Amino acid sequence: MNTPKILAVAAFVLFTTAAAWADSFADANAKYQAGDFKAAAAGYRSIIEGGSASVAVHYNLGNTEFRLGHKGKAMAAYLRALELAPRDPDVRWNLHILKSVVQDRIEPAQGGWPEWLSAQAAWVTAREAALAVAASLAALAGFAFLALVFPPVRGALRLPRAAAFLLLLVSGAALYLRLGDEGEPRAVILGREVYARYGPSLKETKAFTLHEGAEGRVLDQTKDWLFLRLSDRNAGWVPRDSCEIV
Amino acid sequence: MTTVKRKIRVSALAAAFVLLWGAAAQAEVAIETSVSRSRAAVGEEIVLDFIITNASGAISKPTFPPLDGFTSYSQGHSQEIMFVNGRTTSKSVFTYILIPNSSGKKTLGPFEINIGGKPYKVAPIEIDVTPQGTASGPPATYTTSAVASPSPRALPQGQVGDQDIFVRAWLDKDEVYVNEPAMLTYTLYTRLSATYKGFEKEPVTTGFWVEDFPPEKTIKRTEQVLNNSRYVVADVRKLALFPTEAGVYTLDPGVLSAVVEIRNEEDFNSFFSYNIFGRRSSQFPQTFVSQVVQKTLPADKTTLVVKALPEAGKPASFTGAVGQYRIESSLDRDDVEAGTPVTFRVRLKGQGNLNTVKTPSLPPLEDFKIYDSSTSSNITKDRLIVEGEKVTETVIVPKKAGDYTVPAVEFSYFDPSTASYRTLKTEPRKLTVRPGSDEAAETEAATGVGVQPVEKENLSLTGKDIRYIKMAAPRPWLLPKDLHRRPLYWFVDAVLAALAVLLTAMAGRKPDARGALAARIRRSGQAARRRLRTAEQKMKAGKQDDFYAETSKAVHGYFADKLGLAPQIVTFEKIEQHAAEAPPQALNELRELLQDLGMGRFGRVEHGPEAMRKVYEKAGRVLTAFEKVKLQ
Repeated sequence: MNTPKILAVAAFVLFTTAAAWADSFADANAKYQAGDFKAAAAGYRSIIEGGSASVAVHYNLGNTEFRLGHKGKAMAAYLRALELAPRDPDVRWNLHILKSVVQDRIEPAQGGWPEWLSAQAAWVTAREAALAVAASLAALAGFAFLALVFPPVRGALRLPRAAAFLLLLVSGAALYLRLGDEGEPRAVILGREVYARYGPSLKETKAFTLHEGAEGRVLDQTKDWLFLRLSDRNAGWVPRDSCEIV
Repeated sequence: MTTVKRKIRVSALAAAFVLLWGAAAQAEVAIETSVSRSRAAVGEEIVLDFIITNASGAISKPTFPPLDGFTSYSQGHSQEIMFVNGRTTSKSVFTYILIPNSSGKKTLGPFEINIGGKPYKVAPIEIDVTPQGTASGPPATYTTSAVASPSPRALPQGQVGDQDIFVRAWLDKDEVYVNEPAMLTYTLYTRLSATYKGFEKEPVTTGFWVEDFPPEKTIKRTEQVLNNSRYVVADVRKLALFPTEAGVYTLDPGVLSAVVEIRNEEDFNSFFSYNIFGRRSSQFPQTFVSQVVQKTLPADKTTLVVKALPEAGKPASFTGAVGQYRIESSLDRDDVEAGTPVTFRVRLKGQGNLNTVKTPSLPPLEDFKIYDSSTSSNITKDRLIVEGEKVTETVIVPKKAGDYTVPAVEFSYFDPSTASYRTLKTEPRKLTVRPGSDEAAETEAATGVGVQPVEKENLSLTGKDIRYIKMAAPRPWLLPKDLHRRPLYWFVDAVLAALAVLLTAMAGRKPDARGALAARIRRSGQAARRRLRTAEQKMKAGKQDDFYAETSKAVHGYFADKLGLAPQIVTFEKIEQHAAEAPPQALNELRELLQDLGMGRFGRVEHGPEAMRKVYEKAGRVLTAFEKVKLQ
C-alpha cells in the first residue's frame, strides 16, 4: 500500500471516529435534556472510556452526576474538566456551586509565596505552559538568528527579546509547578462518610472523618490505601475504594 | 526590696539546714540491709536496700564483690532528715534490684560503705533461689514508683511468658448515662523491651459510637511493681465510647499486638551492669544476642452499665445531647436590603458527642424565606476529651422592608456531672431591612428552578444553580494533552534552547564591519552638528584658531564617517569621487568651505568675526545638503 492510500485510510478512520464521537456526545446531551441522567452519565462515561475525553464531556458528566446527587463523582468530573480548561468560567462556576454544598468545609491553610505561585500556575494547563516554553525558546532562537544575519535590526530586537525571555521564565515556572501538581494528583471522596486514619490499616487510629465530595492531594499510596493531604494540611490514610483519583 | 527579702529567706533556710545537720551529726551511725524476700524463684525480683541512719559526712555507694547468678541494677539513692520532738535523725537509702538467673543458695556481699571517709563493713546476706515457677517468698505487694526508664531484661531461656508482657483494658467509669463517654484505656505492662503494633483484633463496640484518640507523641511510662515483679507501664490506646442505648454491656476489648525484643544472656553477672537511666557502667564487658518475637496480647472483657436518661425534667427541646455545652448565635449582617440573603449562624461549643448533636433550627418566620441549613463540625481530642464546636448556617432572605427580630433558639442537654437537664437560649438578633429592588422575587424564582432535591444542603445556596451542559463539541486540539510528557517535545526544546544560546553568542561575539559602518553613517550627522555647536561657541568667544579647528573636525569627521575613512585623509577629491549624485552647487560650496578652513587654520591671516560667521553658515549648509546625498 503506498503512502497516499495509507493517508486516505487514516483520514477516513479519523473522520468516522470523530463523527461517531459527535453522535455519542449529542445522544448523551439529549438524554440529559430529557432528564434521563443515568443514561446520560453512561453515555458520557462511554465517550471517556473510548479515549475521546474533552472539557465538554467531563463538564457535562459533572452536571449529570450533580443532578443524580453524586457529589463525589461530580467533583471528580469537574476537577478533570478544570485540568483541561482551568479558565473555563462554566467549569469554575459549577465547581464553586458544588463546593458550597459539600459537607466538609475545609479552610485552606495560610500559605506563603509557594502556595501563591501554585495558585497562579493553576490558571494554565501543563500543555499551555509547555507550548509557551517552546514558543519562547523558538522566538529567542529566531531573534538571535536575525541579530546575526541582519545586525542593523539588533536594536529593534531588544524589546521583543526581553519579552520572549520573560515569557520563557514565566512559562517555565508554570510548567514546573504544573508538573509538581501532576506528581501529587487529586483524589475525591466518594463514600458518604470515610474515616481518615493515621496509618494504612483499619487497625490504625482514626484521624478525622471526610464526607462525599471532599478532595485532597495524594502524597503516597499502597495497594488499598491513599495518603491524602487536605488543603488545611491535615493528612490521613483513606481506603482506595472510597475515593477516586482525578 | 525583693533582693533583701530573698537574702533573708535564703539565710533562714541555710541556718535551719546547718542546725538540723549539726544535730543529726551528733547521733550514732547505723547501717541496715533489707531484702524484700529471702527466698525467690528464678526471674523474680528482689529489692535490696541499704539504710544508713545518722550518718555524718559524705556517703559513698556500697561496694561489694561481683555476684554470680544475678542480674542487677541500681534503683537510686534517697535521703531524708527528720526533726521530731526536738530530735533529729537522717536517713539515706540505696536501693538495688536483683533478678536471680539460676537456682541455689546465694550469698550477697560482704559490702562496704564509706561514710565521712571512714569505711564501714556490712555483713553478707543469704538468698535461697528456687527454680522458675516454684512458690517464693512473702505475699504479693503492689506499689507504684516514680517514672523511670525501662529496665533491659535478660530472660533466662529466651521465652516470652504471659507474665512478661500483658495488656489490661479498663474503663474510667463503671456506670454512664446514654451518650455519656466512657474512656476505654489499654494499658501495657512489660518487663521486656517491647513495641506496640496496634490491634490484632478490633474491639467489639456494637451499641457504641466510638471516638478514637490519636496516638500520643510521647507515651507516658511509669514503673510499677506487680506480684513482686517490676513492670514498665504505658497507656497505649484510648477510645471514647458513647453508648447509644441503656443496658449492661460486656465489652470485648479485642487483642493487641506487640513486638518483643529478648536479649539472650551470655555473661550478665556484673552488679552495676545497668542503672535506672539505662546507661552501662564502665564494668560492662558483656555481649548480647537479640531475638525479636511477635506477641499477641488479649485483654480481658469488661462490663459497663449504661443508665437511661431520666424522664423527669426532660425539656421539650431536648434531642439527646449529653455533656457540657455553650451556644451562641449571630447574623452576618444586621442591615440589608429586602431580598438580600443573610446568614444566621448558630455555634454550639462544648464537650460531648458533637457528631450526633442536633443544633437547634429557626422556627418559621413570616416575611422571610428560610433555606435549609448546612452544618460543619470541628472536633478535637487533644486533651483526651471529645470536644469542639458545631456550626449551623441558615440562609434567610427578607421579603420586605422593616425592623425584624430573629428569635432566640433553644438548646437542651443532659449534664451527667449533675445528673440534670439544662436549657440554653441564644440572644434574639435585630435585623433592619431596607426597601430594595425586586430581588426577593428574583431569588425565589431562581431557587424554583434550582438544583434537584438530592441533598438538603443543595438548597442552602442563595438561589443559584449550576450552569447548563455544553452542547457544542469543542474543537479538537491538534497537539496531545500530555505534550509535556513526550520525549520529542523535550528534544525540540533542547534544540531550540541550544540554538538560541549559540546564535546569541555568535551574534554578540563578532560585530559586522558593515554594521559598524552603518552605525558610523547613522551617527555622522549628529556628531558633526555637535561639533558645529562647539565651534559656534568658540566663534562667539572670538577664539579664531579654536573655531577653525572645531569646524574642520566637524566637516572632515562628517565625511570620514560617511565614507568609512580616517578624518586625516579626507580631501575634496575623495569626496567628489563618491558624490556623483551630489548637486554641483553643493560640491562647489564644499570646495570653498574646505579652502576657507585650510586658510583659516594654516593661512596665518587675520579673519574677522564676519568671516568666521560666513564659514560657520557655509558649514551648516554643506552638512544639510550632503545629508540628502548618498555617497557611494
